[in-house]
Amino acid sequence: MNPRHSQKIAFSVLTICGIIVVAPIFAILLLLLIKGLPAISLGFLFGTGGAAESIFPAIIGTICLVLVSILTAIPLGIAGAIYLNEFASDNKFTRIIRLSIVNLAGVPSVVYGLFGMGLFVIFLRFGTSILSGGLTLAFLILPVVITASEEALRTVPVSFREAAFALGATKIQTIRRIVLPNALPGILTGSILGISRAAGETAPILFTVAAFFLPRLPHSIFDQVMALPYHLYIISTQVPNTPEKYKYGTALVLVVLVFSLNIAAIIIRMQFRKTKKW
Amino acid sequence: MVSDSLKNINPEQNISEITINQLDFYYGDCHALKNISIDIYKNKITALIGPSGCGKSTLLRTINRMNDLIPNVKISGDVLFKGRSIFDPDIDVVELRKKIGMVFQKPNPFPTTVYNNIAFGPRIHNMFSSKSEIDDTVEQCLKAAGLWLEVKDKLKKSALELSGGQQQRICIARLLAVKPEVLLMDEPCSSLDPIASLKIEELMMNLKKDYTIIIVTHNMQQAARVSDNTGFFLSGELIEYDITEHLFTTPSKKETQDYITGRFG
Amino acid sequence: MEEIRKTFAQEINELKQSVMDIGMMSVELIQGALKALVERDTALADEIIKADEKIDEKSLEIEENCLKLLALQQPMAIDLRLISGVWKINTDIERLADHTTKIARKAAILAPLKQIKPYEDLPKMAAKTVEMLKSSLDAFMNLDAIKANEIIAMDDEIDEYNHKIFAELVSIMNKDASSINYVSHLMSVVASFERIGDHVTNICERIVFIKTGILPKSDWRLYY
Repeated sequence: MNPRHSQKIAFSVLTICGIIVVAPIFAILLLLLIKGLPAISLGFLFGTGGAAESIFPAIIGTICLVLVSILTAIPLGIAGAIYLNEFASDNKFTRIIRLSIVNLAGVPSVVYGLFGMGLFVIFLRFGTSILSGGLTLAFLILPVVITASEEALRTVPVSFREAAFALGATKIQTIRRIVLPNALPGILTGSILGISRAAGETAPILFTVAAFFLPRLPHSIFDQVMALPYHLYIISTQVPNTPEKYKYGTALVLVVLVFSLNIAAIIIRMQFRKTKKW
Repeated sequence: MVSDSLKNINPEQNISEITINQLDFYYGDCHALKNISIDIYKNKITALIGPSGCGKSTLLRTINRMNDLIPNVKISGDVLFKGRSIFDPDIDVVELRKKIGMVFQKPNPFPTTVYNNIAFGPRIHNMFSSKSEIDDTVEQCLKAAGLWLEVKDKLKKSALELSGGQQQRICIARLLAVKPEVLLMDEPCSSLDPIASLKIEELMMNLKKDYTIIIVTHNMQQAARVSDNTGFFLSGELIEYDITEHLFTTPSKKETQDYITGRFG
Repeated sequence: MEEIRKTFAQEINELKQSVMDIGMMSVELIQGALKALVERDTALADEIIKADEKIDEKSLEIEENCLKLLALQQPMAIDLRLISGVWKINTDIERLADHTTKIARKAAILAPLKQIKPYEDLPKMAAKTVEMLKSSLDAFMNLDAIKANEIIAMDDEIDEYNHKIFAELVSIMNKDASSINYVSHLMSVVASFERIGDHVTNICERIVFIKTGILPKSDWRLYY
């Protein structure tokens, strides 16, 4: 067969595959928009009245959880990445650490929930609270943050570090002044991806924080709280006769939240690539 | 190995700044440097020549202890700087690297402004207290590197926007800012065009009066043009070390002659 | 070990060969000039004078080649010493060839004049210079510094001949004033052969330099 023909056929097949891959996203969005848009109103978004009709507490709850998780995961993750990339030598211990991170990423999220319940809720006596939920989510997103941060650190060329050492800089000075600032965009991207994951997880927060109906907003991190994913699960399965538009409306809000975070991460990455200085 | 002509040199004119005694260097099992003994004289340019992989860069990196950063390295023998061993446990590696600076093969200015590049060293060592002192140092170092006129209006521009030759001179100026005494140059011109190379050579000749310079180079004509003394290395051994003029007109070892005439490989 | 710069090595060999060629041409000129003198052959004398032009051409060629090699090949060590040595040897050969022209001119002048006495020592002196020149060319091709030093020592014999012939010519002049014209020209010929010997000595000193890198000491012959 003539190469030009086979190229045309290959292109067509690949294009079709591309469409198939992308189609579900659009289908989901379309479905949510059609069925959920009717529910979107100021009362829905910002009211604190009825259980299914207003999701403001759930939105606040999700934000609180995300905040706790990123305040924990990001510093830990960056520090871990710096240790692994800048200090650790290639020995058994380091290899065990790396293996653990990979495995951590593969742990099913419901297992995280159980772990969080066991450690934070029961053992440390935090109870079902924002703190427990946030910390559990932190461990969930830790692998993402560490991996992204390590990759960002690795993209900083060794020659910069060498130049700094040759000028008499210590390792810490080099990391602080040269490596970290230039790795920041990559670290940021990884962190945002972590956040979007934390926002969307249901299982970990099942046992550690979530409440279905709390009329008032949380006062402290030891409070229970509503969360969007859990809220959606409950009104879809446990509460009878919930109007369909509320279910889809909640889903729409959640999806928009997660998508916006992901798109923000992509834009930052693209900006970084454009202004990449080396 | 060290020629008679060098040994008979008037001692007042030639003070040994760095003395290397029977240095052996192993990367794991690889015996990279074999029993090297050489004196580097103050305010002279010493060139180290030899085919690829013969240990010249390794020797250079040992002098400022950049090899500390590589795992699995074994060193025996000694390197004395101003009479003191650089491997002494009392020695502060940071201070050593301030005094013995290095310029690399590929120019590696930091991805920040020209000003910040030069100011980096003084800042991390807290050498100055006021901004105007740093400004003065930046200007002096850029002048010493022959770059001031070209970049004085571009101090706030990214150093990476300059040409390769200018970037390398930024690296040299950056190095001068920490007030070193010895400059180690690891093939500083190999990624530069001929004119940029010649400018760096001119710079070296000017810097020689205030600094001791060691240059590793593949370019024999450059070594011949620029250096006072030349050492020829082969497979980790120092074959011959002599005044440059002698080594290139009347080398005493056959291996040296074969290499510099380029006739035999 | 394989030879890397084969083209360059070839060019060096060609350079050496060209020195050999111009050297042998000069040997023939010396022998020819002597013959023209002894056999009073003006036609031969003319030929010798003309032949010097070819030597001058060849000498220029060699000089240009040296320049080219220096510029284009960046020679070092032995190659550098060889090329710079050849440059000087070339000059010395060209000068000694000029002396043969002088001898030939004198031969033409002396040919019609009445010979005062048969030539005895002069041909021996000439033969010695030819021997020195030929040996030095061999020493050059082999870069044999030891042989070159031996040839330098031979210059003493040339000087002895020079003194001897000079003394003899002076005594002839003292006895017979009419011979002054003849003798003066002859003295010039003797001086030329002596200078040829000096040039060969220079060539040998250059050979020593090429081989060892040691430059010749200051010319004591100036004070002789």
